[in-house]
Amino acid sequence: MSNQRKAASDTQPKSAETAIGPDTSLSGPLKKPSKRRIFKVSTLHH
Amino acid sequence: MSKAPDNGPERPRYFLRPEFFGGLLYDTVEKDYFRLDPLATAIVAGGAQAVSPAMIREHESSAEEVLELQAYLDAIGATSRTRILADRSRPDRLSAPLRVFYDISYRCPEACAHCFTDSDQADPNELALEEKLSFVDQMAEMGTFRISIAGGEPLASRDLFPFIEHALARNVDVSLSTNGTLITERNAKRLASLGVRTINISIDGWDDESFGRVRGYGRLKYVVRGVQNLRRWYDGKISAKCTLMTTNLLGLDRIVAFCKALGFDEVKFNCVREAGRASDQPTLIPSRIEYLLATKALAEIVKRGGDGVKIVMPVNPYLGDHAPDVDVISELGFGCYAGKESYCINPVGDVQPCSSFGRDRFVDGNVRDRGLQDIWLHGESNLAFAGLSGASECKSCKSYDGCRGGCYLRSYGATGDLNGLDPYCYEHDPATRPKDQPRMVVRRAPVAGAAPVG
Repeated sequence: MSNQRKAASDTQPKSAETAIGPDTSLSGPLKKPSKRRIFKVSTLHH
Repeated sequence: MSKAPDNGPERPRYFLRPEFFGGLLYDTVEKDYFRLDPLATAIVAGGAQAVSPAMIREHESSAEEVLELQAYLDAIGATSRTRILADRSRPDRLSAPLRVFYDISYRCPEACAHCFTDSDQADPNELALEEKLSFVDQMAEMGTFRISIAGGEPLASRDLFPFIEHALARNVDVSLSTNGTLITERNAKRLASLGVRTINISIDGWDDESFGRVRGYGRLKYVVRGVQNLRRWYDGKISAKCTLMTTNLLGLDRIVAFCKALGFDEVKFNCVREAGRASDQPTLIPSRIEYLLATKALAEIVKRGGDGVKIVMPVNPYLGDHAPDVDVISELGFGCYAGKESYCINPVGDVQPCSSFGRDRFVDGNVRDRGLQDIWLHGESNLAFAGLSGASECKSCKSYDGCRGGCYLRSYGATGDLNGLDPYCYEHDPATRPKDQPRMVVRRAPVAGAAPVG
């Protein structure tokens, strides 16, 4: 597995900040998907 | 994918880009990318019925989880308000960049000693407004929804505001990096009304002496005025961008306090690069040990809560045990963005994986005569950078996931090899590297106009 593939496949959010956040448009409790399925791509610098 | 490419609602909230790991979903409201695995991608594209039992087994899921995923994606509108972009996925890399770094003009009224782009006067060959707008249209079609505008001084370009307006109209999110001196009340109001999400202002010192040594004595007060104007009229995020140099390494806490007092939301640190005018200022460049001590000092500030301000560490530094819990790899985790997550467009329209290598090196073409998608997928320099993964020492290094090879500009400057050892490596001191150790050689991308080097 190349480093690129490894990076995008293996990288998991390191903190709650990088997990998918709550959508305020949603009403009622809804089970969030696991981070393995969906996560927000963090941006640190730009 | 069960839906034809490039389809979807007339006014989509989301754009889905098929990728080798599944897909990237861009939310035009929150202005964020989300990485979707193949299951989530299939559901966005075709609903739960698009998920086969074989997929469920392959991805260690269950029918229950698939239905929960569908419910979530339905609720946020991802299954009904998504436009699916053409499938250009590649087996091993992104189909398009996440972000374009664009230097809109070389024009700049300041004369900073370390300017990476050696900016001063505009180049007469800079892109016309129509050409600028044209490449933004291409970005939107590729699914590249972020652009970081710098220069030169972007506020010195008369095309800046129409360019931002056009980018935002095409759902391309804009961040702006400026020296701050031209943020008049009028400009602050315009930036606020346009909806620019992040404005970065260069702050490399904490008083006129420390700031002026690099950016010119007497200039700080104009920057402060610009920050104050922005703070008054603009509700978005204002970030200080601090370039680590020998002039400020011992005053990092004072810089943070200064930025906090000015009302910045965060302070982003990065290290000076030996590029542009900084190449002629070797005394500004920290030594390895100075850099490592500076990152340690920054990590200490982070650990004590940033002294009230969010601190963003330098991109992919080697922190070792200094800061094991501090995020330093952003976006998709490739480390250096060049050729992997982004590329750069300079004011004359040349496209490079990294603009810090100078105006003529590793140029893959010009937006006037080559498409952005073609450059990303087939540009020789871009492909070369996409394949970089660090020095031979990196292969077995325990800290590799914390840096992913470091800065290739520094490696190249120190060793002449893009895959050479980053001279700021925390784990491996280049000074103790065995002289007979074979170097990895990556096939060099050609300098524009020259024959490829084997």
